[in-house]
Amino acid sequence: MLKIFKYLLLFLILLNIIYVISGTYFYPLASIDAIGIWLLKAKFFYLSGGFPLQFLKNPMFIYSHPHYSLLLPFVISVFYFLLGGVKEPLVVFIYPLTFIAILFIIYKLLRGFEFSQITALIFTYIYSMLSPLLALAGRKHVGEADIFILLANLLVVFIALKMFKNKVKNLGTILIVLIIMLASQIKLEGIFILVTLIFLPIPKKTKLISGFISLIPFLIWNFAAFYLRIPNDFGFLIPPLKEIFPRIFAIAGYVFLEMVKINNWYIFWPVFLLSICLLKSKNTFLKKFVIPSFLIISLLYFVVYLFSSINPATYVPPSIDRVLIQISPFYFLWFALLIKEILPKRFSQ
Amino acid sequence: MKLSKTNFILGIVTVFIIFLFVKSADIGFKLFEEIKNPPAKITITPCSKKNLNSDYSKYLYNYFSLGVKC
Repeated sequence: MLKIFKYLLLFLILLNIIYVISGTYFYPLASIDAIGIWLLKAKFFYLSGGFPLQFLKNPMFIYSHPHYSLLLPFVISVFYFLLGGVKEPLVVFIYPLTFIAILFIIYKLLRGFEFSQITALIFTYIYSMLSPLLALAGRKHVGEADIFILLANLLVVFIALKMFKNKVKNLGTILIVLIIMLASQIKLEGIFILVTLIFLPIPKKTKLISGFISLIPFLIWNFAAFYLRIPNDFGFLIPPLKEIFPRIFAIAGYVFLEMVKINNWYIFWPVFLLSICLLKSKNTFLKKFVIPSFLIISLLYFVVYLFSSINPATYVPPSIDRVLIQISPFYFLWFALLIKEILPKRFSQ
Repeated sequence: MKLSKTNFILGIVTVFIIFLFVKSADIGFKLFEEIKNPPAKITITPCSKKNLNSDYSKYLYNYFSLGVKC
């Protein structure tokens, strides 16, 4: 019976993979941010054959958030150069491939916690079903950058687990530093992964040095954007005191509304929140790394929303699903570990 | 019979998974329909500014007209 269930899960995961591949094939340009930001800037690189400063300064393309770091468009443009033209329908297949890599890493991560094959498959299936992930992997958000921040977070959790098991501490630190450097050049929030260094089982001095090195590309890009006067279409402000509380309530309200959005998350969030309230886990990695990293990174996102020059009503609703999926490796692992504790033995062994 | 909290959580996780199975069936049907009747590909005339009444079409116009001599 369990064997049939195992094959059923494998089939359903495969169905999701075909679903995102089909979406990528039939709707390669479905996302407004893909054509307005990421693929547009890749085209800037390709057309200018170098650093596309003139394009970035052109007010016609201000929607592209010219001050965003440029690693992803640059990488896409390298593919354009290799393929000999702007071939979006081919390049966007990076997204379903990333989805497959994410599911594989999630499965391996769960196996690293001694989940049985069937339990690891159940949780991999649950993860693969989350709508914001499917959207980024090959449906309405294909061509955007968030899936790579998710991948970066997931890789950091995966490497950190190895480090907690007393394996590859030096190599692990180097890899995490590299991931933070790359993630910070994909999107601003990539730099939030820096927080995870605090909770790694390495000496304080190493944490400080790694933290400083991780920050270098982020600082260089921001300095360059300032020096080259690349326009910035939004920034940060300190709202008047009387506006702070309404902003906090608005952000919390929009997050809540997203969490109960059944089309995106089904009943994941109520189940997860109930699990946190009712269940306890003795897992050290969860307590010392996953939960603190998750809480501080979430707080940083909250601070960005709070002090952004864009009003929460405009900023939070269209972006919160992608923010929640970016940090999903932390809370999903938390959820999986809590449920593992109460599973019947025939499933958990 | 007393319902323990672990059984309660296991119960709702089971409901959640059944819910996902239903959603998977929906995805399967959608996929089947999509493959059977492929949607029309986006066709763009880079130099025509017609029908730029939505943000999406404006960005498409910007995107496709970029680098094209009109």
